[in-house]
Amino acid sequence: MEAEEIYLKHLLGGCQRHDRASQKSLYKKFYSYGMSICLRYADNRDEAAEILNDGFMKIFSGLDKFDFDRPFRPWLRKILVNLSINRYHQRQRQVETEEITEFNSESDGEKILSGISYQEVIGMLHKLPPSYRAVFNLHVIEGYSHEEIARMLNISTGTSKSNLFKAKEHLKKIVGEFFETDYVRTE
Amino acid sequence: MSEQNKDNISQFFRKAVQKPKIEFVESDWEKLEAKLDAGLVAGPQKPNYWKSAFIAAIALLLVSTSLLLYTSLQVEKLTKKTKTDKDNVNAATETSTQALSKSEKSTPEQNELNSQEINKSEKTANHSSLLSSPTRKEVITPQSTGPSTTREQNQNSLQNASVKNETLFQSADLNNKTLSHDAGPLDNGTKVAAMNSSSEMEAINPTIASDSSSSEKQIDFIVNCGASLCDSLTETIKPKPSRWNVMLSLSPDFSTTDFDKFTTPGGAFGIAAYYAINNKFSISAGVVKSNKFYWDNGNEYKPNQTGYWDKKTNGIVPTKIEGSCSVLEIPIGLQYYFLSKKKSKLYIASTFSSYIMFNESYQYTFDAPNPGAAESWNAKKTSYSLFSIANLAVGYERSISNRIMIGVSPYLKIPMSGIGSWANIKLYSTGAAFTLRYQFQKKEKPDRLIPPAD
Repeated sequence: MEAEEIYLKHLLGGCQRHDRASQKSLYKKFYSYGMSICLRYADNRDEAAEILNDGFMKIFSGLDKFDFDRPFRPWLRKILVNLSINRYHQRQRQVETEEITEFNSESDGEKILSGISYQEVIGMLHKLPPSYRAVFNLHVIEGYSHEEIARMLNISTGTSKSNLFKAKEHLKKIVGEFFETDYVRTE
Repeated sequence: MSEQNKDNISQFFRKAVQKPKIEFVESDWEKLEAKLDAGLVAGPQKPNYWKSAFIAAIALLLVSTSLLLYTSLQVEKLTKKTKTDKDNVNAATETSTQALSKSEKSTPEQNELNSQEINKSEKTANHSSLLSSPTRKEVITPQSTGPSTTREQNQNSLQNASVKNETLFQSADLNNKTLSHDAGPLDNGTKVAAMNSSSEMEAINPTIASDSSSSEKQIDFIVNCGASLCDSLTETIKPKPSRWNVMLSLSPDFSTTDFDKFTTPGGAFGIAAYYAINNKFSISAGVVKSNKFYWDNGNEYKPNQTGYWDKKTNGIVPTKIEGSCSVLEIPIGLQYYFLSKKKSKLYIASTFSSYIMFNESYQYTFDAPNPGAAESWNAKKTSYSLFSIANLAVGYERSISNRIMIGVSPYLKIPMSGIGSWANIKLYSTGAAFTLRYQFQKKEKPDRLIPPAD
């Protein structure tokens, strides 16, 4: 564990010096973790990769401000979640007039992931409308409160709670369709 | 569907996303590498105008200080030389005046003797003029009319004098010779002094040359000069600056609890009254209203309330805490002008400030989600702190009129004790104030140097 931390600090030091090999190693090391976050929020894999790359650009340019004694993973997570939320807002402005149901036709779990279990999970999440998915991710996965989510997404606390409820209802159906009907209950 | 099912859904997804296995895709890295090569930075960066203004103010101060020091050194050098030369010229004038008085008293026999002596000295002068450098001739510039101060013209004047009034011109020649001898090699700077002295002599010499009984006229001339000088002094006296002045200041305010943790600057606006004790020292008192923004790691803050983190944030200290507050500062201090020129001044100032702190607010940021934790703290009351901040400043000011001066003054505020009602924070502030000073003027009746003639 300690050796891993030392290696990470070494990588971060290299990134700070704009060493390309260190940058690639860091990117590779946190690719899976970063993509797992981005995929939950993004509409598709390409968008997830864009968010991830934007996040790493921020990290490479902001390493001077980063305290190496602090854990790197939460910092990366925070950056990626924030960028995902920004994307969500942009997307909301673009598709404000479009029907939410359109989302269903966009989802294509097979093309998104190579990891099987995660592929299935992300596939299910992607069947949710973006507004439901964002609230579900932030509340259930990231652990933000409804007040925090309301501020992040510029919605009311009531809307956040309502969206979470609807997201769970949707997921119930999706999970039910995907697995056997009582799969969730037996888990 | 029951509540339990819903929880199961949440648990299912939480568990499912815990250990993702997503294989690395080289093309994603290539896209990022292309961005890195292009030098693109994610997100547009806001230009920091305050920072630019601060740097510009410092640069302006440095440039103006250098210029002021350079010019003052030059002027000092010049003044020193001019003074030396003026002393020499004064000595020469005194000698000539003595010679004049002697010659006036001398008898015709003595005059003849003097004439012979002068002829001798004239010859000597001619020899020395041949040996002397050409610059000496240039130095004492002759006027187009009237008696000259160059050697050639001295000779002419001497010849003319032998026709009209030998005695007077002997003395005049002596005068000129003494002048040219004592003045020595002069540079451009001394021309002024030399010119002045020669013009004084010109003023005197015609009187001497015109009539041998010119002493009365000389007296009249001096009296007239004195009277006109007196009139000019009494008529053109300007209003004297009062001891009081006021100054407005506006500055960006960079606040921090640690010098490597600056954030967006706030602003400070102030007004202060100054009372000049003498030419060098002033005392001041004023009020400065400022907004301060600062941040630090959570563990750098020590909340006054014991067990605050346990009670409010589930025992987790925030990773980062961003603070903001409004401050009404009451500085009392001393200002010292260490360099004063006609239009420019440089000063250092030291003040001690009392603080009235309000709208104090702290926002917490956690590394990981911390459900149920307090997110911020906002002050409900105002806090006070007596003479808790020392302020050191250096400033440059330039007159734009008799009453108004503009300037720039970088400063550093050092906390003498902790301030604030949530946690005793030691808050440093720095910036560069842009100042506007208004100098009050005395309304005094001019004193007459010489009582008016009845």
